[in-house]
Amino acid sequence: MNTNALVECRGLGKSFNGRIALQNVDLTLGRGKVIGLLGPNGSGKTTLIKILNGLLQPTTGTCAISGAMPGTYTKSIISYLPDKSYFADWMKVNDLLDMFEGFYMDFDRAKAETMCGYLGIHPTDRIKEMSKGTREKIQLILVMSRNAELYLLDEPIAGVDPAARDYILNTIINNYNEEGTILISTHLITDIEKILDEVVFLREGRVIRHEAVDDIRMREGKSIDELFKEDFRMVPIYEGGEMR
Amino acid sequence: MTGRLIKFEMRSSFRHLLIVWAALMAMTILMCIIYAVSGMDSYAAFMDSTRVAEVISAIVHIAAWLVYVALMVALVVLTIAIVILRFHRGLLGDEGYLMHTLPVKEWQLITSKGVVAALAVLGSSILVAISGFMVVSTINHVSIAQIMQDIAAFMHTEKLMPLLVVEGIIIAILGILKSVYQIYASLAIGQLVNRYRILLALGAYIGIGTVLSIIAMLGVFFGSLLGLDEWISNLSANVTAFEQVVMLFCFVVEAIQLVIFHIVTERIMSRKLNLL
Amino acid sequence: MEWKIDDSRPIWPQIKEQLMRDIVAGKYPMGSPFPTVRDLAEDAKVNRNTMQRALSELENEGLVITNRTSGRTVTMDENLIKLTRGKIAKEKIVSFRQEMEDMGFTMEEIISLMRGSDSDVEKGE
Repeated sequence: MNTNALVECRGLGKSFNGRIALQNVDLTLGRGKVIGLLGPNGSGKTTLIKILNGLLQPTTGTCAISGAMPGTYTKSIISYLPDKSYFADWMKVNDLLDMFEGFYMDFDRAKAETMCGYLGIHPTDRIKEMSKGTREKIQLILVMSRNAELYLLDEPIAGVDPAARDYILNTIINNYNEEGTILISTHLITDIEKILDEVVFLREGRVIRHEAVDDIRMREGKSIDELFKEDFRMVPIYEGGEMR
Repeated sequence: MTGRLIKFEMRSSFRHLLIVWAALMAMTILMCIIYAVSGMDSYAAFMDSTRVAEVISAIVHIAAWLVYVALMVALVVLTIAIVILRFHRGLLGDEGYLMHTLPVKEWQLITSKGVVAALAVLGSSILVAISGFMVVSTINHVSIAQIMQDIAAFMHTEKLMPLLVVEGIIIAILGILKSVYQIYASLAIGQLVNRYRILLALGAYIGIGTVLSIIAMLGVFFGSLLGLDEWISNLSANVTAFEQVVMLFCFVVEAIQLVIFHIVTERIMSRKLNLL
Repeated sequence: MEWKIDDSRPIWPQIKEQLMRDIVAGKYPMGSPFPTVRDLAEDAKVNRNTMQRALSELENEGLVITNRTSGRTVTMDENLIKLTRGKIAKEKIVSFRQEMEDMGFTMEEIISLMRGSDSDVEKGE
């Protein structure tokens, strides 16, 4: 088994036309962990994930996944769930399975088919005719049916109903490769904090906290959700009473 | 991996195109039948016998032409749409989130799109040509044997004619690829901004066209300064050499453009990909 | 199974305590096979590392035994289970007593309350 760090970011920064999305991010993530990437909207979660999976190029700094710069190799060991539906609408479930099987050596087709079966999804069903919720589930099934080293899950539970949320979280924790690490971004902390080993807090593009969750609970006597609310408390513009 | 990408791309691109190709071929055959029947003596005699038959015949002809032309237009529109949309949606839209995270290189993605798009354009062009040829020759009562003879005769008009035809085909294919890649480069430039992407892509396309004509004009201008036109007129004394130089020149010009468009597209997509 | 997990405390000790209680209560009989980390994690909706840690603690205390071939089983050591049961009871009682004393009850009052025989305390006289 590999002993080096799975993810290693050094001085990572990204700006879009002068607007800073990430700055000076130093981050080391180990293997076999479930890690929450937490922060309010616009704090740089998606940007960080997109740099790790190679969809964006950093403006400054470097990052390495399993020792390699983002590229063809890292893409073959990263399983990425975007917050978008990325299917070509003409496809059938079978076409998608073929595609994943054809491009990802670590794809477990039988597993994906079983999971589709549980949901009553047939391999000849057309993506176009499915509800948004079903599409999201299929995408999750495909992503979690890979024995990847790193799973990057971008807001998997945003905007779904509680039943779907339970399904999604169960699918995630029951199906990942145990030697792999899951990085899961969200702003809905209560729902996922039980499944986390570590958290990374992002604020305005900086990592302000990276710790094991049980260490935090032990020391602070607080849930991650409470700590998050404290760390990201909105500062009132006028403090100390009424304006005169 | 490129092969797999191409296979996948074929399935998405050709799924509508094949239907229109089949429809056009069916319509072509129908047109040929209609005109073959119209050309018969017994038909003419029947036409003369009654006014109603004449009206029906006219309606059939007009309707056939309307459908035929509509199919031609549909084919052209669909082909262009495939070239643009398969790239725009497949690599720069939401599908891009999957395509760009597959363990393949950027050039493989672009090449798979380009090759399939060029095949679509080539296929549609050939089909339109064959169809037009068939209809026109049926109307003019030219037999297939006659056509074959004409082609054979054309091939013998000059000693190197077969070579020239092959060269012409290669350059035509290269030209198609280049045109496809010019669209790709423009779309890649367009995606650099977050709004008005299509507008910028259109501007880029026109801009590239303008720059190319300016370069061509400058080329002619400086060429004549360097005495290139004199060299060419000397060369034209030897027809074969002249033809080959022209062919080579066309080939090089198309190839250079193709390479530049590919590099521009590839660099933008690997360094400045901007999926919304 | 009903899992009660408080997010403001480390999760693995809470899981360990609940499993311990289930063992001494006989929910997992002595010598019977113990569920896998995977199944337990799925049931408790926690990740496997957390469940693994809780089970390791149970193993350290000898309540659960790992056999190389047959997976985990509940201990056959009746004495250990009795001891554990006593320990848990003691902890409960200590914290209960503390709470009652904080409210001003004396030991005698507590005992009679628990017997349900002293109506004076209930009437507040």
